[in-house]
Amino acid sequence: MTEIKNISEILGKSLEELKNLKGADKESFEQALKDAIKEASKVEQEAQKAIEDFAKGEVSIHQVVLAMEKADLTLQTLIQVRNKVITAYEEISRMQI
Amino acid sequence: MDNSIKLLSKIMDICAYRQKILASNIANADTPDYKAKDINFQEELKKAATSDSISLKVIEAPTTMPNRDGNTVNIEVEMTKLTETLLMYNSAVQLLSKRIGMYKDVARGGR
Amino acid sequence: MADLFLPLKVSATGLEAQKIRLNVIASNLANINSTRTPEGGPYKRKDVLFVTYMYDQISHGVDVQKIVEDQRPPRTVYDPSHPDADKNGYVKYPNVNPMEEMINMISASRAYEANLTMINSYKEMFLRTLDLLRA
Repeated sequence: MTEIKNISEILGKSLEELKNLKGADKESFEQALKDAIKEASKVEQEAQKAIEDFAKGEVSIHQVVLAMEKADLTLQTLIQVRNKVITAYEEISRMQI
Repeated sequence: MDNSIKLLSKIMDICAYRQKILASNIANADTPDYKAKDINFQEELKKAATSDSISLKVIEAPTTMPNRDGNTVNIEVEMTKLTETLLMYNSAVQLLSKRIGMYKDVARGGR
Repeated sequence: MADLFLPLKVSATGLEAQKIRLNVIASNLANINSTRTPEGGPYKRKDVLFVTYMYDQISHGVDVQKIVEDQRPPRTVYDPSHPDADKNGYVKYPNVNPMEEMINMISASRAYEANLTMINSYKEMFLRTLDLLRA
C-alpha cells in the first residue's frame, strides 16, 4: 500500500533532481526537437529519392507510396508539434508575473 | 528546390505523349502497311529522372509476328502498353497531388 | 533493370500466343473439308508449338516457336463421285477432328481470359496501392 507522504517532500525532491541536471541533459528538449526535424528532413529526402527511383523503374509502386505516406505522417506530426510549442510559448508569454 | 514535382510533371508529359501514339496505333490496327509506333518508355522515364531534358523520340515498335498486309499493330500488345501508360500516369497524378497537399499543409501551418 | 510492368508484358505474350492458337484452330475448322492444298494432297491439321520466353528468374513469358503440321494419316471416305477420289473411289480428307478442335478452342479462349484477368488484377492491385495516397 502506498504510503501517504507530505506533498512538499515529493515535490522538493523532484525539484532538487531538476537542479542537479547536467548541461547536456538540460538541452534535451531542444535536442529532441532538432533531432525530430532532422529525421523529418531525412524521411522527406527518402520520399524524393523513392519518386526518382520509381521513374527509373527500380522500386515498385508500394514502396513509393509507403515512402510518401511516411514523409507525410512525419510532416504532419512535426507541424502539430510546432503548433503546440508555439501555443505553449504564447501561453507562457501571457502569464502574469 | 523540389525535384519531385518537376519530375512527376515530366512523367505525366511522357505518358500523355505515349497515349497519343498508342491511340493512333489502335486507330490504324487495320491499315495496310502501317507500322506500329512507340517511344522507348522505360528509357524516357529514366532520362527524365536523371537529366533535365526529355527527347520523346518516336521509334518503330518491335514486333514478334508480322501481320498480314504488312501491318505491325498487335492489339493485345497495344492494350498492355495502354494499361502500362495509364498506371504510370495515375501514379504520377496521385503522387503529385500528395506532394502538393504536403506543401499546402506546410503553408497553412496545419490549421 | 527491374521492370515495373513485367507482369503486364508476360500476360501480353500469353494473350498473343493464345490468339495465334485460336487463329490456327479457326484455320483447321475452316479447312475441315479441303482436299486440295498448294503443296498437294489434303489439308493437314496445324498446331502451335509454344516455348517459354525468359524475361528473368521469375517472369516467364510465352512465345510461339512455330506452327507444326499434324502427321496423323488423313481421313479416307468412300466417295467415287468426288473429283479427288483415287482409283478405288476413296477420297483423302484432312485429319481434322471437329470435336478436338472445339475443345482446343474452348481451352484457348479460357487461357486468353485468364491472361486478361491477370492483367486486370495487376491493374487493380496497382490502383489500390495508389488509393493509399488519397486520404
